[in-house]
Amino acid sequence: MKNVSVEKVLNAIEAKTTYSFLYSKQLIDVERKVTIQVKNRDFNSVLTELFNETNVIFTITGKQIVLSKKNDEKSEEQHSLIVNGKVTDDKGDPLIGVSVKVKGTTSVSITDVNGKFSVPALSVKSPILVFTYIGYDTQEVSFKGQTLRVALTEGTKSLDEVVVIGFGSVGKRELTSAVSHINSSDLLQSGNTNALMSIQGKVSGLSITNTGGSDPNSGPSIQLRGVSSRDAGSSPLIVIDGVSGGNIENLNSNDIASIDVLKDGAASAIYGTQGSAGVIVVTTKKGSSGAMATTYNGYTSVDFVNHEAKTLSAADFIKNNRGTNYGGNTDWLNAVTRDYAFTQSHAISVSGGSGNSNYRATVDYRKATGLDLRSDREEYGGRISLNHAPSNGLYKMSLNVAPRYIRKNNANYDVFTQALTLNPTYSIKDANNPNMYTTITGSDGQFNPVELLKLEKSGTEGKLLDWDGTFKLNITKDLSSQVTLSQSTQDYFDFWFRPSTMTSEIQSGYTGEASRAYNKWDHKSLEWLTNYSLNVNQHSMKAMVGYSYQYFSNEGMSADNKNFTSDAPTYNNLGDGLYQQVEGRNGMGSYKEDSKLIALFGRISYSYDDKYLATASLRHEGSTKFGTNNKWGNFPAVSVGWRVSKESFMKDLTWINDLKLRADYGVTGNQNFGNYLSLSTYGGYGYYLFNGKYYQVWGPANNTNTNLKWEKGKNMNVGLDFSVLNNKIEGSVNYYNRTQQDLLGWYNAPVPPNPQVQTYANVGSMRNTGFELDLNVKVINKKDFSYQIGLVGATNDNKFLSFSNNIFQGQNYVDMAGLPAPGSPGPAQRLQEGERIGNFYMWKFAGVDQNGSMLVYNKDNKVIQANAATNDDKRIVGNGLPKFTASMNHTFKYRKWDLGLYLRGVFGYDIFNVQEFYYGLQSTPAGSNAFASAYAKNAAIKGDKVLCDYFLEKGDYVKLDVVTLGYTVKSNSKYFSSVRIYATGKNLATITGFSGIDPQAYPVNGLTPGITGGKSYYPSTAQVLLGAQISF
Amino acid sequence: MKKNKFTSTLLGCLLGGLIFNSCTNLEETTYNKIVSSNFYQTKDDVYRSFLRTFEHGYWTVQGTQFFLQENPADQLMTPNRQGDWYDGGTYFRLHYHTWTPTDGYCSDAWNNLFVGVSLANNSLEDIRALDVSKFNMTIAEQKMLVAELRTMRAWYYLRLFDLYRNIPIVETTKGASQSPLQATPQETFNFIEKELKEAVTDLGKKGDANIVTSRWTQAGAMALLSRLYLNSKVYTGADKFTDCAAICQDIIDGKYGSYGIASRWDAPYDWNNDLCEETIFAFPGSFGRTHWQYDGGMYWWSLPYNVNKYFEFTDFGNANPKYTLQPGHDVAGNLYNFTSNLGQPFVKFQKYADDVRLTVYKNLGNNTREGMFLYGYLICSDGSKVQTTKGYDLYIRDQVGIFNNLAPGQIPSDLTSTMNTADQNSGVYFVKYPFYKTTDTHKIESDFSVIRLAEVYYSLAECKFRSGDKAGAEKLLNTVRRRYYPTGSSSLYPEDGSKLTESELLDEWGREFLGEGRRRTDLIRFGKFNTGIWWDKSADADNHTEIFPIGQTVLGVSSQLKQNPGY
Repeated sequence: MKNVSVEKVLNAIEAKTTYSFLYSKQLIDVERKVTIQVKNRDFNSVLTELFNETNVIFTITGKQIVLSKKNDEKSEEQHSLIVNGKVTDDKGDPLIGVSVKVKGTTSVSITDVNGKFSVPALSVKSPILVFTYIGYDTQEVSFKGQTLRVALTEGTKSLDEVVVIGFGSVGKRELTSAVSHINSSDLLQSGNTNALMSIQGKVSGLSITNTGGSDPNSGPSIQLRGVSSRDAGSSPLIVIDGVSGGNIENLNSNDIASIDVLKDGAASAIYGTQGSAGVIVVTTKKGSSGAMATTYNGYTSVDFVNHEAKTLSAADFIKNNRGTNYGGNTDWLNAVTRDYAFTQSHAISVSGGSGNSNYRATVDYRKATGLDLRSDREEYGGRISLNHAPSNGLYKMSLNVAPRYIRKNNANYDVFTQALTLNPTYSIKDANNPNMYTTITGSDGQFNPVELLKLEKSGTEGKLLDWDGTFKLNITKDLSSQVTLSQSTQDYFDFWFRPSTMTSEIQSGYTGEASRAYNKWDHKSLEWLTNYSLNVNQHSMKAMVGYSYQYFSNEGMSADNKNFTSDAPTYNNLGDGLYQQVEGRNGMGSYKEDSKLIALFGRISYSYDDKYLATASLRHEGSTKFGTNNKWGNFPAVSVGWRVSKESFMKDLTWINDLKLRADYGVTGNQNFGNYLSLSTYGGYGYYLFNGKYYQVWGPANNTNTNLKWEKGKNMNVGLDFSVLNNKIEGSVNYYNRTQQDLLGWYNAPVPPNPQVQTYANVGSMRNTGFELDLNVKVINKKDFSYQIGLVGATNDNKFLSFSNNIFQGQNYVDMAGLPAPGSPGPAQRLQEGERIGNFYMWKFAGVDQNGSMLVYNKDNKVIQANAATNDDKRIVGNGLPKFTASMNHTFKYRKWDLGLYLRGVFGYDIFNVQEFYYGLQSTPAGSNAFASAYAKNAAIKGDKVLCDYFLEKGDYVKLDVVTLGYTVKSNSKYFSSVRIYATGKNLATITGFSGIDPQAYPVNGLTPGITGGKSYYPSTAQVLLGAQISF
Repeated sequence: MKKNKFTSTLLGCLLGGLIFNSCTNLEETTYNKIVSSNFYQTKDDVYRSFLRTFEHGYWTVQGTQFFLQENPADQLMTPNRQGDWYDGGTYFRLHYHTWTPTDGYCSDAWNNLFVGVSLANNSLEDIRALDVSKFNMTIAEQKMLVAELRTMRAWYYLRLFDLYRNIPIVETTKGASQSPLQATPQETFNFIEKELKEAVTDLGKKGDANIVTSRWTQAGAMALLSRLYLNSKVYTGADKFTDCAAICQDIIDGKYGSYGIASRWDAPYDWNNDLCEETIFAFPGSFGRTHWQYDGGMYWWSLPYNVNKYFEFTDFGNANPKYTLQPGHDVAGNLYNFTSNLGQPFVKFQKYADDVRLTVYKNLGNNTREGMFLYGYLICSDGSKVQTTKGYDLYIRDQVGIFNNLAPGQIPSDLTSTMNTADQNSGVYFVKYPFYKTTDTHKIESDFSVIRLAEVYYSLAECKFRSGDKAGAEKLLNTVRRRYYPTGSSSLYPEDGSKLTESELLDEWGREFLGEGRRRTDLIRFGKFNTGIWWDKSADADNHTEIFPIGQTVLGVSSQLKQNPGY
């Protein structure tokens, strides 16, 4: 290198090696031009030559090289004073590279590897030294003549965190909207299939529930700040590494670096028509420079049933004369359930890189069985991340590729319903013919659940592939432009088969039934972003413009047949069946649909002195799905922030470390609904004979709606971020008010003149409001012992504002949550204008008469016989939408031990005890089993079940949800560098007044909270997990 | 410089892309649907559109439209069978005439039938506007298609008129967002009359090429008109029995094609009933395609559980006892004696004990059957008895109560017999359309007969009876009834007018058309619907339930509609 600055040389070394330099430009003259040979030389000798005959010394500590000035005698004489000292953290460990500045001068130094420094204080009389260090609070100390010993306290770590927002990232300090940031270290450890279950309850306002949690193939329902739509999707948009619409199923939780939840309108409006339900941004781990590092993560877990439903034993069944005694004695729940569900999971990651390039690759394997006899899931996948930038920094390329293969055997939730209802005196196998299962039929579609799980095959094979590639060009230091191409694709090949030997086949006369279905989803996108930033004095400005093109398609085909020659080929020889050879049958189908989303967007952020912050954004977006009158929409947002703590008048309030007020407003959209609903289309229906020939008839496929458009969300949020008492307590408070208007859904249309009873249209509005609190308290923070409490709470108030617009008028309610046979009692909830969603709308219980028949109140509040009541006597008797959700996390660290206790609660709502309703009365259909409560708690009721609030209970619960105990060993051995072994217990205890199964099995998300759609359920479990994390 | 050039090229490409239409084009591409403006390409497409409302019409014979005509009347019932079919009391309210606009079926029938109207309107608008020469179709054929669609629409209107009386008349679908106000009953009457009279000139006639029973013909349209006239007094206050009689006589005389009364009693319901001389209009059923009368909304749910074993018909899984006959006897076995002489449908059959239909239904193999009812024990070919799903042998009685395993003749301690106290033994089942064995070649092949010539005979008989010609009425009825009784049976009317009374005539309507979805209309015409009493049903306080209320969900979206009086 000829005639280059010292800085260039240092940069070159940084680029070629894994080392980085730490120095102050005020102390070290890096502008000095040198000529030096660097190629094929040890950097140590380069440095020695570089600083030969200068007053600069260098110290190498780990991967850092600290440059500092020699304390030579001469200079000491020139100055009146040299201040010496040592800087440590609050645990006493030395801090390297702390900047030490004498206030009001240019005199600066940096601490060395031992935390020591010496700085010339010139002729300042009583010098004040300012210590600054990233991640720690800045401290000012007056020098009083002796060697200084300064302990810096760790700062509001979270304030230095980088929060990933839509199409960019921002320091938490500058953030002006409600975004929750979760680091990988904060993820809950449990053996869940879905990575997002690891933040269940962690984010205020984000409700993640899985009513079939122990089914290995059950995914959670995710909902942010209340239900956001009537019919269009109400799950938040998932963005993985900047690519929207990512597939969370293809994400191994070991690869998650952080999760950011964009909660308010201003943050999510940049996603336009996909932003209404909020956005969850997942950032995966990337490689880092340095030698290859290898990590293994693995666990095994077992799940046991808890909250088991109590049905009558065979003896009690006979005693209570419930039905015929077939002589057997079967505990059906036990018979369909495995002793425990077992999961094992293994993942190995390698990462490394040089200064220019880095890589990370993970492979994982997971196998889980469910609680029922059939379900399981086996999957393996990988994720490769490559990044490259040349030393001149002109461009950057990155590539992520994640393939996955899954094979599932499906659970059947009805087997548990059967287990509750079946006569316990049936035997599983036929006593007369032990090779056969007992034939079980009934008015309510009863079947032998053990036989079904053992003989029926039902499942799928999935292939997932997500990839994205980005090329970023740094046009100038402040201007860059990047293009990202991505694809997320999923193929599922389903199989289903029933052999001819099944009793249900013998009953129906089929000799085997089978089907296959192939379904594909694909999402391709191109995104082009240009970023510009400008910093002038205290003004800082960032601007971004972008273009986005997204193409969604799904297609598939299916075929089925019955009556095969043999059971042996199972579902692999559909053509062999005779069933479809009957004239008029075909047993096949195929389909394809697609849609496009195109958007232009931009954002400008401005900050003055890190004190006054403002951001404005706009997205102009169109979708093929919208009607011709409404193809394009605009989604603006503004947000402002004021860091009150930076104001001079706050200076004396030293207990406040940081205080920021925020307010924002944004307009979001939702286009998550079916294709072709605005068009006037004809579709094929059934067949009709005409002129001796069968024609498939064709007619209007939907009511044309050229006005169809996005659902519009108007989101307002005000918030306060704070950090007080030496950053011991930090947190934020938010209030939001979100009105969703032009709600998408199927609305009853006037017939005539319409050809269909319902039109897909934008009608009505709904409002959600709530307060959210996030609090983190460092109770104790000692070197050997620390204790932190995290507290999260959210309220939700919902109101369905209106059910009509100019075109659609009059109907101000919809009945929901229809309950099934036997007795088909009809809808249990009503969605009504001016009311909170989740209202239970049924009769009000008024006791029983002398025959034990249920009585209810009529509309005039007179007590009447239930079977004389009409729909007009029904009323609102409760509500299934929780008013308040909260969680509390306690983290203890003692030397090598760590302990986490996680409590989670849901409050202020009612649950309709569906099982008690169907099985808890003596009038449960004859021949069916009933709960023990029918002859105990509910013994007074002899008559039929009546849809009334007798079965409504408080759903409130608090769970000891996750307990994790870990032990970490660090070692310098050649075998490993650190090992953490941990044990986790999940769903260990529940405090609730609810008398049924785990209240968690009842949904709280969606439009019908507090009630399950049918009788089906999956048992709730407690889990014990043992895991290890090993770094090599 | 090099760097700048690269940059500008890249930017240029991307910007250029934006200008190209493809980057901002939001046209939709349909794959398995067709944009309506592109639909008509061939003559077959015209037929496909024409047939849409026919296919829907077949569907509307069952489900709500069926049970609204049967459950509020005195023949069929849907009681609470030990926890099954209680359904929140919805069928109780039908039986007791206590329904309200919030009962779903009040909206469902309106919507289902008006969808048929809209689909007919839509095809009418399309087909009238087509330049048929482009489709190799004659103007005459186009006119015939239009006339058939108008008849189809009149059939929907006639049923809506009968159920709701105050309905809007709508003849367009495209571009309309709301229906007009309700027409008066007289206006609706006139509309239906005009439509049928105008259609008949362009309709085909039995015997013409391609004219089969699944198409609307002149006889079909005139039979619909006879229904309108027969019930005219109820609909508008003015009786039209004379006009009705004239039309019926024309049809019987063969003016609209040659029809006859089947000599075999089950022929009108059999697998080849499309060729039966009695069939005027029928929807085409087939085992492999549609067969709505055989589905859950109708006769498959008029059967006991596990009857599939007795039928040796396993293709549909299990049947369901939603509809059975109301009882003729109380729990103790005593014959009911209702003062209005209504109800007790099985007893009414038993009144003529030599009726061939009284035999227990049985598949004889080779696409044949005997009998029309299921009662007593059902003995399968292997000698076993059909079981209930509650673990007891099925013993079907003409009684309603909780009998469970009680042997024939034994009386349970609880003598209550109400809609709330039925078991699976309660109530005789009827089987009009045969459920042949799975191995039979013509199982589930019957068409669903909407209009049989027998109806024309019965209508004419009623007109004659009302005009005082009882002998003429008996003679007409006997023409049909002859097939049920042995030659010379005393069960046949003497044809001198000495036997037929109003009550007997109503009973005879009930015997001939049991479970064919018209009993409510007949009871109303005879003035018995609200005043009559039958099993577990007392007389109504007033007659507002003679028509149904417009359902709440319908009113909700069409607030200009006025609710029917009394609701």
